[in-house]
Amino acid sequence: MKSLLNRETATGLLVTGFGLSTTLYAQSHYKLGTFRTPGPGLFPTLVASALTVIGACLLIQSLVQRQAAEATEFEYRPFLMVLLSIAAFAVIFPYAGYGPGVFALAVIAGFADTQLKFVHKLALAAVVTVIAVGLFRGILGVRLPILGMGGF
Amino acid sequence: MKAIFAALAACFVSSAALAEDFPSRQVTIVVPYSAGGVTDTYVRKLQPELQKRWGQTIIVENKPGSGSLLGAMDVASADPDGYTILVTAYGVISNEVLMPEAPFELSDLSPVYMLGRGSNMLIMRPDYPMDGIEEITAWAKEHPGELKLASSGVGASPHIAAELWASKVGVDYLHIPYQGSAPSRLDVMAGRVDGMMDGVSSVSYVRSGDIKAIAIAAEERHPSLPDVPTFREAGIDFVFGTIFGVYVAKDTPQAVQDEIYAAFDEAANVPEVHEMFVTQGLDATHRTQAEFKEIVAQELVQLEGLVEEGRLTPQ
Amino acid sequence: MDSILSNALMGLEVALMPTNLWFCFLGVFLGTILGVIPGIGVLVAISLLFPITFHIEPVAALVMLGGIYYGTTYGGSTSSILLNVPGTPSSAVACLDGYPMAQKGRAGTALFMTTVASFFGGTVGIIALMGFSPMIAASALKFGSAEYFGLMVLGLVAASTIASGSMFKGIAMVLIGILMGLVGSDVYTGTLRFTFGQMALFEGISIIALAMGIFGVSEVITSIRSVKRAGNADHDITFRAMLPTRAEMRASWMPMIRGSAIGSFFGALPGTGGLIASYMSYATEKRIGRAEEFGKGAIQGVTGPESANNAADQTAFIPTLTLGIPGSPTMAIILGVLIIHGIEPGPMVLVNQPDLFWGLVMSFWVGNLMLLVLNIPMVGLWVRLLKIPFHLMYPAILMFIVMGVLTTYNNVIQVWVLLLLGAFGYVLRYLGFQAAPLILGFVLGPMMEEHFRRTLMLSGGDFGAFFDSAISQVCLGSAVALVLYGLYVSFSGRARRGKAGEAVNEG
Repeated sequence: MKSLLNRETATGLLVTGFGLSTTLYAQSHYKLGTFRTPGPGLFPTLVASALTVIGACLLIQSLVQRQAAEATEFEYRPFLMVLLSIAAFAVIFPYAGYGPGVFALAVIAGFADTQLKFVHKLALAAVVTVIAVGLFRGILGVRLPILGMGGF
Repeated sequence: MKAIFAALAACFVSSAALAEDFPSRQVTIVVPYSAGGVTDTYVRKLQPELQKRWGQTIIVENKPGSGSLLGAMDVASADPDGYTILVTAYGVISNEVLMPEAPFELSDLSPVYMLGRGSNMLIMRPDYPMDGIEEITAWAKEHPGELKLASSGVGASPHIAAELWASKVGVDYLHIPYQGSAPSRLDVMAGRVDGMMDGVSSVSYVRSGDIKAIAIAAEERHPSLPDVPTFREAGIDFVFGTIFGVYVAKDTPQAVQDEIYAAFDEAANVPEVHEMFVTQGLDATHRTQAEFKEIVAQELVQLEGLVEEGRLTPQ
Repeated sequence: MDSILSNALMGLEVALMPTNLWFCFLGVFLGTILGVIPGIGVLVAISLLFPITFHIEPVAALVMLGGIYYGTTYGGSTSSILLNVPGTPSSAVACLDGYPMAQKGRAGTALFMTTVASFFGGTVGIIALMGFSPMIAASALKFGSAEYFGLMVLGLVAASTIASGSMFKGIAMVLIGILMGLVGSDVYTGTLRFTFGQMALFEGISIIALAMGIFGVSEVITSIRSVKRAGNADHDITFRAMLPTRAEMRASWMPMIRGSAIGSFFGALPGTGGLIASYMSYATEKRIGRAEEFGKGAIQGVTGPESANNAADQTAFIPTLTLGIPGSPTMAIILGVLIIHGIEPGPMVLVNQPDLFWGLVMSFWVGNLMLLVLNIPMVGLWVRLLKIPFHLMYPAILMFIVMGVLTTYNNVIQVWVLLLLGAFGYVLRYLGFQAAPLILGFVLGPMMEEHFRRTLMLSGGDFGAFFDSAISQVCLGSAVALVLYGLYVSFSGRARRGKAGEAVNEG
């Protein structure tokens, strides 16, 4: 439409590229064997080749049809904040336990949305933390450290 | 990575304190196969007896995958305190030779107690034209690579048994691996493969006529199948069976290992349990921990031999 | 017939054991709640609650997971009717006529009739499950590697062509799913593939992290904005308002019967499921009834698809339990759970663990009965639950997802895996890909490879072996026909069911 590289075309290129590189990787790293005695490389190579072909089909379809697909917006804010909140948990948990980890997760996740005031975000995070501890330790009896690295 | 874990574990755990009152909490037995399998059945038979002796809850955790590698890896990397015990069949030994690059060494485990030794049996599809082992061997020699033998997985005892037999009589066959003995046996029944060096757990299918038993790789005939000859009777010196053993992480204090040995020995010799082992055709002779370790070492030598012959290919 | 009856009785005994009854209740109750909340579908619900089942007996665990599964479907239609936002994607059809009914002040009736229709459909599905499973299991000897391979190909092709917006995108997802499923050690040789030296990948990508990342995390990211736009429910429902009129009852019977039949068929067919069944039923009713009424609150547009949906939920267990082939992504997760619990699904389950199979099947029936009894008095509670704004709920949902992964694997590396897969899942969604075929490919991939290689080994490298038996010919023939149909549709430029395409994320 507007530019040559619309989203559909880019998708086609991505899939083709992924398929091709996987095909090459699989057939160069793993034994193909023969059809009589197939090796570990045969099936991945076939599947990845098929993916390359499908990628090419997507590419052709995007060039031929040039329909504008329904443009959903990329939600940067929720996307980044949600991922950041998970990362924070993963970083904090090994050192401080899941209590602080969940708290950090809930606070950062709160920023994915703009409805609450900061104080309310903290309060919500505190509630979520209490739920987490209460449920996983209290009810389910999961033995993971709540606070710190050790046994508590 | 593993070294760090070990060091960490050493910081937190004082092994001397542990040995005295083992077990002071719940013990987990990892079975690297599906529930309902042979190993699992044995463990569940032993579980109440162990529980009685130790007065602690014993959890049986089935952890199938990659032969028996996943479960074995779990136990090897657990705290070496005896609270995580592996009970497994042959795979843990053969993987050592077959998968040298896997992130696991048999030496990460310490063999503690040998429950017993099974024996493999050549079973064939019901419509297979031949019945005698000599006949089948002769046919297989004339038609290299045409006899299709299934196995429950690469490195599992049916696979190793088939390779050993083939090595002894000098034939080439076609190995068709499956995931687990149930699907492989099903394809033998359906006639898609010719046969399999199955464990004796297939006795009931032989009785029902779904498969036929040709010969057994034991010293003597199986009590439940008195008509099935041994390979030795046919002049083939081939005795082989899976090894059911109890293992723990290698740095487990010896005092704890001794207690585990004693507990399993007691449980396995409860008349009811022992009887089950015998009717299953298990050679449950009493063996010390040192003897068990020696047997494991011998198996490794035998497997290395198969690798040198080119019959087994390490990955 | 006799044996089915005695088996059913034995199963009923198992299902009525107090522990199983309790876990059944817990499952349907939690399932309904999670189904009502937008942003949590069946897959997320199961992945979230799965760790709870770790410490209970396999039968009780399965009973509970089953309860969560069909409980979610029951709950899903509630928010479709009240908010016009499907609580689970498979209840998207309930929006079409359920929401207009609510606007006309008939929300109570719509909810009541959904419950009745669901129960009816569920019951028919269970009867089909009881009748056909032993038949299929008994002919399991006819299924060799070539037949399994053909059936899987059909399932994957159906999943990628019937449901999603673009056939090529669907197939691409299936293939990427297969490749992701191959990560880890090869079953034949133990060779480590696509692990790039990462310990965390030696055992393969974990299915819970994959499902939670691709469905859970990306669903939360999407819902933060979209649920806010939809607004909140504002209904008060009395029991009196729930009772349908006589005319509405009369109008509902035939759609429910037709819907159950359609649902039973599509549920059992691998690759299709509740959503497709409910669309098919909706289309059928629209053709039979007066088309102009539909979309404006026709009761047939609610009851037919709801029956179809729930019948499909039950019959989806047929291929899963008898052959070990999951027909839908949800079934794929349940299959994974079975394996983690040490049960190898396949024809031997019926023979070796009849108490498990029949107990589970009968528990479905008990659970459906519980849902019927529970849901009518609890509608008010669900209405209130829907008044909680999503921005207060999603941090807790994220917490459940992360803690669920952590407690399942006890290893923080899996949380990182979850993060990567969540990002991947959202990007896929942005690019217009459906995640459902990916999960199906992921689970079937390693099995397909196993059967593909074994077929070739047994036939000595002859590809003809894939077409030898009638079962294979039917499966592969249907798969080819589906691809041709898909090609025709994607190049004839005809717009495909817009809403269906969007909603086929789970099934």
